[in-house]
Amino acid sequence: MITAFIVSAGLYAALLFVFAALPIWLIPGVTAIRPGNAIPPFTSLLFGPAAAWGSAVGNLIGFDILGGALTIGSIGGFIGNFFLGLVPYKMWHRLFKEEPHCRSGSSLLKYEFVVLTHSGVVALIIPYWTELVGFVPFTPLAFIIFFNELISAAIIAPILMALVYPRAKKAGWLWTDVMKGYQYTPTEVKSHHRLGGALVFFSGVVGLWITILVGLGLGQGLFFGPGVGFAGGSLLAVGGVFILIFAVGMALLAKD
Amino acid sequence: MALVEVKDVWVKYRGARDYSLKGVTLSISEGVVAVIGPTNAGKTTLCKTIAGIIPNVGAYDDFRGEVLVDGVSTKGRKVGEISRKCAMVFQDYESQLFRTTVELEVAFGPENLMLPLEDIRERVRDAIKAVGLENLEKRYSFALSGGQKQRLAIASLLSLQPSLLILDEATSDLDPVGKRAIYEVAKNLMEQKVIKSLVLVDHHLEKVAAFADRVIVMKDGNVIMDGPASHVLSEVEMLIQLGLHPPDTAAIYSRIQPNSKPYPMSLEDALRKMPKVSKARPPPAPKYNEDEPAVEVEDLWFGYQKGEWVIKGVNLVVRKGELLGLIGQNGSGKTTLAQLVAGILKPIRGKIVVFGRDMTSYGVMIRGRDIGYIFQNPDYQIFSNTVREEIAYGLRARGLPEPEVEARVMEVSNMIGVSNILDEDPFFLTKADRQRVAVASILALNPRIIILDEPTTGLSPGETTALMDTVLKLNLQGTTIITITHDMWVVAKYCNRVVLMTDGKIVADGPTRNIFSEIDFLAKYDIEPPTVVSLSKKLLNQTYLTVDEFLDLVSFNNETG
Amino acid sequence: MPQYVLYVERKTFIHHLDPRTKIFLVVCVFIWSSVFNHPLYTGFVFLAVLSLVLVSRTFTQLKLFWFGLISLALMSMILWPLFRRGGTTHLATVFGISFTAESVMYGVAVAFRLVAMVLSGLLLLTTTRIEEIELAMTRLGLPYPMAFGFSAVFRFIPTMVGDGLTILAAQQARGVNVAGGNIFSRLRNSAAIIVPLFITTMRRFGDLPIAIESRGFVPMEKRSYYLSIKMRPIDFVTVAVLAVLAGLSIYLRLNGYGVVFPDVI
Repeated sequence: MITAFIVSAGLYAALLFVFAALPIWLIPGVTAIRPGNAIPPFTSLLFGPAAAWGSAVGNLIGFDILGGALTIGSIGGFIGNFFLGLVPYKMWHRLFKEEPHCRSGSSLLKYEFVVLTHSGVVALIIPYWTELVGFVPFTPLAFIIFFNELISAAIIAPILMALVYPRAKKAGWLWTDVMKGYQYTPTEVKSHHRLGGALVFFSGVVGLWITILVGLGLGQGLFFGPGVGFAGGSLLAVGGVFILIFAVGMALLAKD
Repeated sequence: MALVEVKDVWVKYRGARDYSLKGVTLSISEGVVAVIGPTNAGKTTLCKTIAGIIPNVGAYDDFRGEVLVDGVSTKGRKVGEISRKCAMVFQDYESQLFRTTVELEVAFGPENLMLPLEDIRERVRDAIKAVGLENLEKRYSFALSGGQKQRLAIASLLSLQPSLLILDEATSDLDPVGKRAIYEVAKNLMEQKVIKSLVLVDHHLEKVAAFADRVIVMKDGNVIMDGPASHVLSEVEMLIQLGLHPPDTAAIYSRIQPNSKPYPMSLEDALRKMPKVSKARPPPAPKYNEDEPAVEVEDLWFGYQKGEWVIKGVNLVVRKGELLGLIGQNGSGKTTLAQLVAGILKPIRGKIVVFGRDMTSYGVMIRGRDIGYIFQNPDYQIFSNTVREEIAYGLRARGLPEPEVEARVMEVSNMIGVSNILDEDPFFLTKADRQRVAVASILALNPRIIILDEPTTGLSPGETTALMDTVLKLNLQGTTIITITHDMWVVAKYCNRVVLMTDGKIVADGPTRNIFSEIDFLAKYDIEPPTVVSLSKKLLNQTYLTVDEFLDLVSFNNETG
Repeated sequence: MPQYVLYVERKTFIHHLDPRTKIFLVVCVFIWSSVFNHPLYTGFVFLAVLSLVLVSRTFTQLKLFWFGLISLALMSMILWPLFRRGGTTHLATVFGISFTAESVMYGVAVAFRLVAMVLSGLLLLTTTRIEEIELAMTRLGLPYPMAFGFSAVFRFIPTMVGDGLTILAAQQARGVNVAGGNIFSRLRNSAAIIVPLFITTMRRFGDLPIAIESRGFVPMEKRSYYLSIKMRPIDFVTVAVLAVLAGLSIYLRLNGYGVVFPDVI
């Protein structure tokens, strides 16, 4: 458990730190191109809960502390990265009977479904927080985090899974080897888990884009001159609803 | 009563094919005990069993028997509780240092024991002093050198004040002098009654002979011999069969006076008992290589930080077909120089010419076509699913056509002796096999120069010999080799030229025989040539590099064999 | 050599404060800069933090971060006027998008706010050793295993970065191109770095739980501490002053001072 935590946090932080020392900024001071983003879904599927804490702490140390970006925004980063490491394993553990070895078309497809969802979730949570505390506007940040996370996770992480998962399984490194009494893949998929998965997917993928559209001023007034009102208020309301839906979905997935 | 009693212990790790310990029985009371044997003999398993780690932590298919520490069974107890009696230092010090600073690392054990602050301070002070890390208390442990980290790992267990300290190859990354320093520290602690006994696992049998009172030999999970050090280490035939490297003096006496067991284990003893020499032929004169230069290094300067030079104006010409041994203490700049030559690091000043072409401004991608670099840790490059793919990876990355790739893979794997494991997953091979795969995958690229950076660390002498024999074969086929090593017997046996570095500069450079004959000069740089060199120098004022050479060229009055 | 430790040893008033006081200072900077969104007010907070940095004599340590800080400020000044729409004073129309003086002022105010927050975080990290922060966290009620895990990650990052750089060199020497080529082949080739790094790290830390346990560690059990931190009178005075200022700032905001847009943070 401690090994899994140290490895998932340390590797994530180390990769983030190397690129934080030589940042390729997307939004200066807020987000940069992060090849390390392939680590959370990868360690999540191997290490489970330890990787959720690992991703949160790894991001806090590698990006916020060593990168000199410790602000009120770091709280959102901590929560967002926690879910980055939580969502993939939780969804897989509840929904798919196949293993995430990414060596067959169907395994790869399921994997890409999971990373699409988790990219959407984190792109909803972190910018929501930064908008809420008047730090960085939601819309551009959500856009960037989503694609930034998705690109690394969708391309690098399946290669990592294909090379490492079978070995990790044989070497006894998976989270179910440490947390006895859990099954890595379900024997049957329960309906409330299916509903939970659907809600998480809906909030992370559909919800994210609806919120982004609100932020872009759909029905607001970005292109119609000032004085129409704040996009902020309605954006926070809409985003808040989707975060609530996400929370309900996660609760359903967590329930036995 | 004995401190530790091991009673008929059987251990099988989960998923393992065979038992790692097969009915081991022994007891340890006072003194220094060395455990020796080939790789996978069960040495580490025995240590972990004594320290109570087995069967309390980890997964096992089977554990039978009983281990008593101070009369109490270890089974079902907390490791932390047992480690107050028996504490174990592992081979990889990095994972044992998990606190940020030196003093916190040492204080961690006493903190867990709930000791009052005054006691913790005293223990921290004592332990740090015992291993010689004074004035570094506030230093971050990641900023320490490898040798300092190993000392810190030992200090962090000493502060628990155990009766028994177990060092499981805990000095393998140290240069010979650092190694001796650690053993002297441990021995001092015994004399001061801080610890009662010491268990060592080490492949360096001359160090074992110097420090251990008792030696236990293991093979395939069994104890095959157990007795006073000089008796066990006199079983030269058996040691060689196990792939171990017997002390030079024992190896010599087993040939010239086979019936005089126990053989002398120290240089002084060997000289005193040496029979009269009837004839000593001189060794072959050293050959100077006059071939074209492979690597020319001109006035090279390098530092990681401004104003702190690690390489201070090095000039060096390595000629084609040489097998060069780069030696020096930890931190003398050997690896840095090698990495500069390979293009992994970029010099701040100076010039590097490879086969007549100025390569100073080219990086490792370009220089990699001429220079292959083999790292100490084979895991640094292995990642493919099979050995075959691993060896082919570099060839495919360079865009070679597939039939050519396959032909090259077969050729190289036959040469290195991995053709029987081509379809296995390199991840599950032993370290020696992984090291061979790493060598094969570099060799496949057909480099004209190969640099080996301490390739034999963590390998048994038998595995080391197998690897170096392959390297020698390549060298005889024309590949230029530069090898960094702390094993002087490897240098003496294989290298035809030695370069000695200290403090970022080259202080000696020449044929191995010439350099090794300057024993007093080498001592200034803490280099000890093999015992046979010192012996022949003192006895006959000749320099024989290996035991075999000594025995070939020297004849004695009473020789029986 | 990358910079793993931001802390610089100095003998200043701020260095001598208890780490808990300094954490409270960071929280107060978050409060002060968040309650206002008028550039004059957040600018004042920024100047206050900057003067603390100067007092702590850690200014030179921040040279790596200036580029990031300036970019952060510029980003805020450009993005917020685009997304925080409102106000009545029309300023200009660029590419068909109109800007108001209020939204521009808001952007400047947030720029000061962000830089003040980042600087306060850096002030904490440059004047406090990581083990003092760990100790402060346990004293503030964080369970010891969490604080321990946090500092252990911190300890191991240099090891992992070092391994990573060596692996990068080892693979480049075999012709693996990570630095060049198009973005997709670069991403694909990065697996040749990450997989060996992961396996090396797993092998290395496989024995970590044993190493920790064999030093007598039991997760939730009581323990004593080698280091100690103590709130001195000066700390209590500082905390009191900071708290009063935080209260005052909230009072001012509630009475309508220091805001461009009263409805948002």
